[in-house]
Amino acid sequence: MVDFKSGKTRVNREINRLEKDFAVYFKNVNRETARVVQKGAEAILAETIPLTPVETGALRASGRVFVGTAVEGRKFARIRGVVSFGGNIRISRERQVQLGGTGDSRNAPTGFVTYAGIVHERVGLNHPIGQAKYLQAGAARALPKVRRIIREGFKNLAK
Amino acid sequence: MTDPSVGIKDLLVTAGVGVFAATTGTGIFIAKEPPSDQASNLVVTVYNTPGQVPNPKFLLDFPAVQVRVRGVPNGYTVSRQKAQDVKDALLGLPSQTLNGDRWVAINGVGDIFDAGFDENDRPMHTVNFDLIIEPATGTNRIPL
Repeated sequence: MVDFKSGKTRVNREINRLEKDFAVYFKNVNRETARVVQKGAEAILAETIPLTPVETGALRASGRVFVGTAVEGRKFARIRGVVSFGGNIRISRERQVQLGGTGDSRNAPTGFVTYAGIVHERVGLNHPIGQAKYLQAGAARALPKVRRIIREGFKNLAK
Repeated sequence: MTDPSVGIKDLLVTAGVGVFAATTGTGIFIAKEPPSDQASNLVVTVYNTPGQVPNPKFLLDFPAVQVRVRGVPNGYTVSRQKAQDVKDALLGLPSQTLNGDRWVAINGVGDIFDAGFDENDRPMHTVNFDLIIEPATGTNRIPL
């Protein structure tokens, strides 16, 4: 005689175990993806800095990475990495000098770099150090490294 | 491969965005913008910019261009509309043969960027495009 009640209990137990396994899997995927996005964005910034024009060092010092994770009830989080220059970050003199600039406040007297986009887009200007389209060129250069980082991420998940 | 900026210039002229090297109305230029204190009209300049790595085996290139619009002093809305006209003229075009090369696609990179005003209060905007071109001829690569 088939025992339906114990069979159902066994199935429910298996389903619960599967749900727990999936929960761990989603957590691992989200964590690894955030790591990959962080590393990829850092790789792009690393390739971009040497291409960024430098005078006082303010523009280079404003380069940064931001990774945002939005879960909002989703199993797979929405993860976004941003590499940016200028904007609402105040740069320090030490960092300007560290990146090859003079460290003075000529170009960014308030500590904020307001001209990052314009320097990026003005392709007709000749820069003694660096170039226009510095972020676009840096991202293109970083592409092989970013691909390696993504491959590594898949391997880590498969372990 | 014919210079991509020449191809873009031809497309813009055909679409009526402006007239090549004109000093009245909208003038379209290549690689060098007329000095701000000398040219008094609306100016559209096409620049070649770094694209993606060309295919090493097949005749397939991925160049890029920037189209820069400079308006008349304090004429922001008119110059912004001109930048939009540039976008409208270039995006959505079918694949075609242009100056002997096969222009497969013109794709926008981002949207219109407002680059502020120059020293003569002339508004500036840039629009960037990635191109896919099959050159007509090449020394070592194989045609597709």
